[in-house]
Amino acid sequence: LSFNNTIPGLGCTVSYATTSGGSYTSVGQLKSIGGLSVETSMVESSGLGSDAAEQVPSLFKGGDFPFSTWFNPANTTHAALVGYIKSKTLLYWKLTFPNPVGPGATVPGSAIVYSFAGYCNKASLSGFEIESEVECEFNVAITGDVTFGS
Amino acid sequence: VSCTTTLGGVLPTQLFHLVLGANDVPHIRSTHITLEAAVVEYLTTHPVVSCLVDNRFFPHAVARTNQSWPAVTYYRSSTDHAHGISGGGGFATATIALDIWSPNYGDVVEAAEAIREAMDTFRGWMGGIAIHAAWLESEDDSVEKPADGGGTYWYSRSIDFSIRFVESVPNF
Repeated sequence: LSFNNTIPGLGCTVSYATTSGGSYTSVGQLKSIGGLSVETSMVESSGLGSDAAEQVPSLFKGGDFPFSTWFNPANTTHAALVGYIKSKTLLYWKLTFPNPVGPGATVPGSAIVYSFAGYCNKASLSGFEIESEVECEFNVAITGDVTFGS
Repeated sequence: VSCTTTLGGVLPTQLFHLVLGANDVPHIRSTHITLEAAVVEYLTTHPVVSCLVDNRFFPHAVARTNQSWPAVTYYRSSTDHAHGISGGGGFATATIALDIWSPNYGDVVEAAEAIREAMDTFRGWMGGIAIHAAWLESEDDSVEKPADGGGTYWYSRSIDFSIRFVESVPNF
């Protein structure tokens, strides 16, 4: 059994632009991506005639998109993101997946990209110790739809 | 061994918070220089350490004959290389163990203290490698009794330093 189409975490990138479809900038010194957790809210729809609890889908929600960096306040992308938190600027984001690797792996013609709009609303600094590196976890609060594709 | 080709790694474009001197260029002098060599170069040129130990630094072991003392043996006991999601993080944290040896305990203590003052909380350039931080982890004394019941006692102090340093990023 092999999983030739497994996507490695190594090679993922996160980029942003200030305008939709504009020039995207990759976040520098990216350490890890916390995840993307999309969901559709469910509404209780049970009625008097229901034999069991029923629910129907409601609004789609992009949720949060956290990622960690080795933080450098002089890094242009880090400085910009911190500034966007305060200015409450809507940003346009891309999560780009690396190609699968392995015998028989199906490599897409172009990289798979998830794109969405969101506000960078949090920067949590940590690691102010001699044994540590200064890190920052940024959080993006997604607003609106998420496009799954290229 | 003389290599005619060089390694393909590249230095990270960001050096984090390392404060460099005005004339320093963010580079590793050679991709072949090792942290061990950098530490030895730094200590053998340190005014106090070199006065006490001179150039008597040896990897792993030192012969007890025909030797002036104190002498220092060194080795790397561990390395934790940082990785980002795009590849190598451009830095690593290694533990370098230094053992100071002498038949005179006072020499051991004096040299160990000089090395501590030279290394603990160091940041900057060390033998051509950029050091984010070096810190003392532990110090332990030991003594070896003569096997024949007479002769010379051998004293040593083992000091472990953690050193976070800039390393090249593999370039594929």
